[in-house]
Amino acid sequence: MSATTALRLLGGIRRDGRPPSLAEHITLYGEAPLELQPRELIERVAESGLTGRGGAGFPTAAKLKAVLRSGPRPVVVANGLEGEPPSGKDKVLLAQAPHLVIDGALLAARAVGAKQAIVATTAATRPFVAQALGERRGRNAGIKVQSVVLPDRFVAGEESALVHFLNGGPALPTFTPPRPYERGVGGAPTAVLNVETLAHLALIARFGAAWFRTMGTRAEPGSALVTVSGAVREPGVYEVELGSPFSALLDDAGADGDAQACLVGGYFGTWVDAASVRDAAVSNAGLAPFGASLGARAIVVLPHDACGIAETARIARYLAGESAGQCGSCFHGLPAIADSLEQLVTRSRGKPNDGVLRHRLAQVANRGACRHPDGAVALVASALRVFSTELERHLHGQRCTKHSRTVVPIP
Amino acid sequence: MSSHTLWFASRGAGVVSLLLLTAVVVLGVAGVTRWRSTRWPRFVLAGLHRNLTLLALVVIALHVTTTVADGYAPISFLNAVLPFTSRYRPIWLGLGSVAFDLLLALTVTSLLRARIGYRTWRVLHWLAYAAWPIALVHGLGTGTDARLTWMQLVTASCIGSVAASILWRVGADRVTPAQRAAATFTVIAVPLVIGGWYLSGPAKHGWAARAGTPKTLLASGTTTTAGRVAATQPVDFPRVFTRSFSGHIRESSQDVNGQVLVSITGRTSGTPAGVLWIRLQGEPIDGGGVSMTASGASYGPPSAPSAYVGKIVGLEGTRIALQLAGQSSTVTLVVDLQVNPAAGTATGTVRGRRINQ
Amino acid sequence: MHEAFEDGGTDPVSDLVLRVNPILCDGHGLCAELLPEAIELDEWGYPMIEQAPLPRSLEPHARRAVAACPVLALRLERLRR
Repeated sequence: MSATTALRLLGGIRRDGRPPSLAEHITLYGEAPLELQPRELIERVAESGLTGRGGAGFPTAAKLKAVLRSGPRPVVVANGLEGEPPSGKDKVLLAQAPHLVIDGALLAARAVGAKQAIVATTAATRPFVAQALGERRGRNAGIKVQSVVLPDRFVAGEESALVHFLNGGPALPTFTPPRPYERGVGGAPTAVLNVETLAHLALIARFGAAWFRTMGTRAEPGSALVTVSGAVREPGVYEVELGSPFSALLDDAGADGDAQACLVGGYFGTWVDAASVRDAAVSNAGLAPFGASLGARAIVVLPHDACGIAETARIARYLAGESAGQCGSCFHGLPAIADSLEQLVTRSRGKPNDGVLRHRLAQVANRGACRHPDGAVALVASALRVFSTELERHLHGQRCTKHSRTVVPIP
Repeated sequence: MSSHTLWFASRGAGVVSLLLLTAVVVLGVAGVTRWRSTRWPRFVLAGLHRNLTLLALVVIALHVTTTVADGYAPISFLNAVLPFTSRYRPIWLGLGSVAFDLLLALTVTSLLRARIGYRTWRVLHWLAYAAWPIALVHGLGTGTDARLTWMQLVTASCIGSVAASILWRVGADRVTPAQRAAATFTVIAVPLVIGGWYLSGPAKHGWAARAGTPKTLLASGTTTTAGRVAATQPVDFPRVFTRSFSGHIRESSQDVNGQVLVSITGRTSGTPAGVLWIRLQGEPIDGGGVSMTASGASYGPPSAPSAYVGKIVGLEGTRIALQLAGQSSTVTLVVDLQVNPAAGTATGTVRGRRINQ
Repeated sequence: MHEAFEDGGTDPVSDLVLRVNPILCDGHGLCAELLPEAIELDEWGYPMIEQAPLPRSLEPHARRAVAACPVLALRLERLRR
């Protein structure tokens, strides 16, 4: 371990990979302070400055307060779906520290006065949650906790899609308002929180806001899990201090020295060229100058011999296929954008031009019920910007200088 | 206004409402296919669908009112909205009431669409697929003109238009193979069923009795062989008969050639009742009367007043002899009249003889 | 996409905005026919709606467009100040 990596959430990882038992968990972290008053819990979370670790980065205390204000009998949902293919942090967390997540869910439920908590996962991680829940029977402060499995689709993890499924519908986004915090599961105010956020919450409740703030920046305190993959020697999930230099993370992961760019934030993220990455920090503030943000906290390093346009075309095609198919601008627009990109790469239709592509990017954004098309559009726009040299070559019909080796993981 | 005006109006309104409803269904079905042109934008087609429905409701109201006012058949306003309660052909008339009720429901729910929500509205609107064929079958089962060729053509065209529009709609993409199969099957099966029923029912002799026409409106004592498809009305006059006559006489003023037109219309008593119409054209003679130059006459039961058509073959004072021909027989009538010119009424006796060809 | 409405000074702006439910919307396109000043169709027939508040003069047309939508996907909302 290097100095950049912190071990708060991932401290309990055993060498043999087996998740800690409840007893081991308690030995390591202490009991969850379920006796704390709801008001005190929310105050701790508010003072800690914890923000959502699922991608939106919303202040957690604000979300809890909004749910509290919205009405009686709220519900807490732990979102462990992690639909982004290059992201693996939630899966690792659920597999290696399920008790932290469940602690967090229970504490969040206490904070908003909920009697019901649901842990939503895909089929792959359900066994870990089920086993952990089995160990905790009767020790959940009267809060009913259940585990629910959702289909493994990209959009299933979107807040309204998750709630839609829990209400008996398909795992597809719904038209908002009302948002889940107003009316969610069974019509009740629902706090949907990422599992990592809940894990941090579980530690904040124990050790306090001041402890949490010993790491990170003022605006973005604490540590965060980040998945690194691509042209790196040691791909995997790293826990880093927010605000730490990006270069340190890349060095820890053993990234290629001559990598050309990084995809920051998963498939809804943006490309950042290698030089800029060296100057960036692992935080939204540290990435903003380069047109990027943490997003789903997944980094894919692009080696020098892969074509950024080609990789983006593959991602675009994947995202097009993962459209919920409900909104015309998305289910027509994303495949059309993927088509344009592929034509640029393969030069299959005469003289390619990027005018149609740019026009479509403008048309498709901000017209869907969820952010799926917006994420795709932002990704493609950043590719056209960062890989402008390659784009020029493709537009002039010159051969791609890269081997088009595929790097980005597409399921 | 002749005593037939209301009856003709009822029949006409019935046909017109069938045509309007067919257009409405075609527009509704095709509307989903996103067809448009610069001269027919979608909002115009949608507006037509809506307005033709409202127009159809008005025409149907006219159809119902004229039928009730005509009074020939025992049908009341209540029968028009409460299905199967009339004494006249309860089932087939009742179907008309069913269709009318459905149409009212479709209209009201569509006007209140914003209040009931889209999904509820959509489910209810499927009733349109029931209302239209029911209206069509009502027309065939109870309509006077059901056996006439032009009515058959009209009905077939309506069925064809709706079938074609449905097939066009399911031909578009975004329709599952199961839906396509179900629609195609329905489009073929329903017309076949209706056609089969029509050929074995309304198209055949004796339908009026089987359909539930009250006995007082049917001929008595006539037997017809089942299985024969006859184009005339199922009831006919006896071989020899004497009836009393009551009606009106009208004389037009002289035209440019100095001719006048005298028309005598009225009904004969008995069963079957008869409707008689005599037209006489000629120069007026001093002292009353007309020197006849042309004539025409028709006689028949109320359901087919033109069953026998012909002219005057003898004219002597107030005695008129008529020779009339029908589909398969001829009728000679001798009419003795007492005329009241001031009131324009004519009464008398009619002696008739019917001879089969 | 659209420039916001040009207020010539004689056409005051209302507090109404158009909003479409993109899940219900099926690209029928009646709205764009009835309110071309505020709604354009993209290449696939789906509406692109002007986000700015509507001028008063367009309000009756906007209501007509809302009523004409076959799937009731379009709505007029009052801006909350």
